[in-house]
Amino acid sequence: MATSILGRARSARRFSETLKNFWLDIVLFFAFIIDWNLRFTGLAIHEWLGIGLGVLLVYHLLVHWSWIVAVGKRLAGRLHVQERLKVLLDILLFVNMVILIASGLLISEVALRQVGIHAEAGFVWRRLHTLSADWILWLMGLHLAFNWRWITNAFRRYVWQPLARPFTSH
Amino acid sequence: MKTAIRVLIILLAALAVTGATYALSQNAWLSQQLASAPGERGESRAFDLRANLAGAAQTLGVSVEELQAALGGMPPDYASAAQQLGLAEDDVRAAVETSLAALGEHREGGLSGGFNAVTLATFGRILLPMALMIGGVALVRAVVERGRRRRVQSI
Repeated sequence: MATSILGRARSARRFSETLKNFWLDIVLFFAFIIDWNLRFTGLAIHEWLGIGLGVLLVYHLLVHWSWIVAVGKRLAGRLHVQERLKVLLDILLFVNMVILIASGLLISEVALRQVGIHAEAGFVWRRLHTLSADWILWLMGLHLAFNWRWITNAFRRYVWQPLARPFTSH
Repeated sequence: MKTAIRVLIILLAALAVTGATYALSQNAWLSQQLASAPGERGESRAFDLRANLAGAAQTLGVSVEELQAALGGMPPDYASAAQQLGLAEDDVRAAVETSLAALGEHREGGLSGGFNAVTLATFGRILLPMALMIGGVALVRAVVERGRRRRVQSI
C-alpha cells in the first residue's frame, strides 16, 4: 500500500518535470525564432532577448544535466551510433550558441550600453555573429530532428490529447 | 549548491569556447577566411573592404584609396593605418567599424521592427532549414528501419 502511494508520487513528480521541460523547450524555440528575425524585433529587443535566451539555455542544460553526465560517462565505452551522433551534434550546437551569444555581447550596441558597458569588439566578431547565426539554423534543425520522437510524444500528451478530450469523451 | 556548481561548469565551458574563439580570431589567415566566407544573411558575396570604406574615409577626412591602402587587407591593420595617415588609432578604428556596421544595417534594409512582408519571409527562411533537417532525418530513419526489417525477415 505504502509503496504504491510512493510510486504514484514519484511518477507524478516525473510527470510535472517532463511537462515543465516541454513548455521550457517551447518557449526556447519560439524565443529563438523571434530573436533571429532582427528586422521583426528591432535591435534593442533582439539584444535583450538574446541575453534572455542565454540564461534560458543554461537552464535547459541544467534540466538535462543527468543525460549529459550519463552519456558523458559512456562516451569512451559502448554507445549506439545514433547516440554518438547526437552527442557530437549537441557539442557543436553548444559551441555555436556560445559563439553566437558571446559575439552578440561583444558587438552589443544597445543592451550593454544601457547598463553602462561599452563593448568595442572588432569586425571579426561581427562576422562570427552573422556566420554562427546562419549555421545555428541547420544545427538547431538537426537537434530537433534527433529529438523529434520526444517532441511529438510530448505534444500529443500535453497539447493534443487535452484539447481533443472534450470531443472524444462520451 | 549542486545547481551553482553545475552553472559554474557550464559558464566555464562557455568561457573556454569564447577564449578559444578569441585566440583563433587573432590568426591573420583565419580572419581573411572570415572576411570572404559566405554569410551576411545568406548572401554569398565576398567582403569588399573598399566598397565599405566611403563613410569612414569621409569621417576621417581622407580619400577611400588612401584609407584602403593604409588599412591593407583583412583584417584591417588599424595601428599601421593610423600611423600612415597621421591619425589616432581609436579614431580610425571607430570610423571604419561604424562604416562597416552602418553598411550592414543598410544592406539589411534598416532595423525597423514589426510585421511586414520582409519579416514574414525571414520567418520562412528561419524555419526552412529546420524543416529540411527534420524531414531529412525522418527519411533516413525510415529507410534504415525498413532495411533492418527486411534483414530480419530474410533471416
